[in-house]
Amino acid sequence: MELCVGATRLKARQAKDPADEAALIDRCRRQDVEAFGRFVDTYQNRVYGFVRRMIPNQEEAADVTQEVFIRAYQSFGRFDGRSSVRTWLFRIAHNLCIDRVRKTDRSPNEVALVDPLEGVEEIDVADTRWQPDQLVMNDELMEVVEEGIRTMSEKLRSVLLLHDKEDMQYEEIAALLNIPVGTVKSRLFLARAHLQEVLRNYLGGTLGQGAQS
Amino acid sequence: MKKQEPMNVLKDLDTRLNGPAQNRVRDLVSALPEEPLSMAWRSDLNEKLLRKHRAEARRKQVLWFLSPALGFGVAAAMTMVVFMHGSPRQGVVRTQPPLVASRAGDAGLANALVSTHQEVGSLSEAAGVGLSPNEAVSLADNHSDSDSWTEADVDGF
Repeated sequence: MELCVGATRLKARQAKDPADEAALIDRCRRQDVEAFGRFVDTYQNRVYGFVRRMIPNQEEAADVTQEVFIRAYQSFGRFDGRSSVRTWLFRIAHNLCIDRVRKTDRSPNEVALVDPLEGVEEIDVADTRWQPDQLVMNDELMEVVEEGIRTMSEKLRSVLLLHDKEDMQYEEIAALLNIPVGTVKSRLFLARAHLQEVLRNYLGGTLGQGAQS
Repeated sequence: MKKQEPMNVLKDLDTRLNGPAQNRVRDLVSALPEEPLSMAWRSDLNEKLLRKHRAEARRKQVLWFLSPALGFGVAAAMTMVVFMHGSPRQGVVRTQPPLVASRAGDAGLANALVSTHQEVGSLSEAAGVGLSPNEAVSLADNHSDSDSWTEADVDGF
């Protein structure tokens, strides 16, 4: 399967009727199993996508995703609607991921956030390899991006996934992670810079191989 | 000056976050495919949710039964205590019947009221301000030792 990078972002998945969603949430609050089943249908793949990238072990990620929905079901009555249900759900997911990561004693690599702009080399925009219509998301490139995400710290990873994959706003992420908006931005910048570095190495390597052959 | 520096950094950060290179990385991440979960995973989750739902329903049923039962139990216990011990007899302070009531049967209510009023008036005069008629009555009934004192006793001091 090939996906062209730079295509229209998939915002359609969020374009749901708010009245329908409000009614569904209301039923979920009353512990309606059927309504909660529909809620799971809506969010299960997205939550799993987030959890799987936060916890590399696939089986463990599936277990944590189940736990996320069980927690959500149990505490839906306490959901006050101050944040969106998506933010609330991803907060549960994030907290469980952090708990699991701590349990498995994989301490995150801290990244200094004093001056995020210092020493980060931008990729040359004029480089044709970065043209959206020429850069095709093949399996290999996808694996490189996944590897780049895996090798960054949990703090950067969670911000990157919530913003770039889940399309959340800075303020939403700040509320979810309980950090200032400025920190969200600097972490996002560092996360993307890390990926740029990984991709630069990959593209340099593949071009080098091409030149040799 | 110090406040301006972080503001400038944030502005610079915003500009760079919206730069073409950063946007392309965002597009790459956004285009990562979602991995669907298996049907087995979903059915396992459904079972777990159903178990939780049943446990919660059972807990609610128990609470629904227990709370009125507990109320009835407490009420029954209190009733039993009252019946077993009967009406209280000892240690109860009885209030003194009003003076009017004791005389009402003799000369009619009007006479009793008049005589009580006169009596209260005379007692108030005798007792002075600050004493109730009943207290005055009880004082009058008790013979104090000081009543039997003579002048000689007083001179002795």
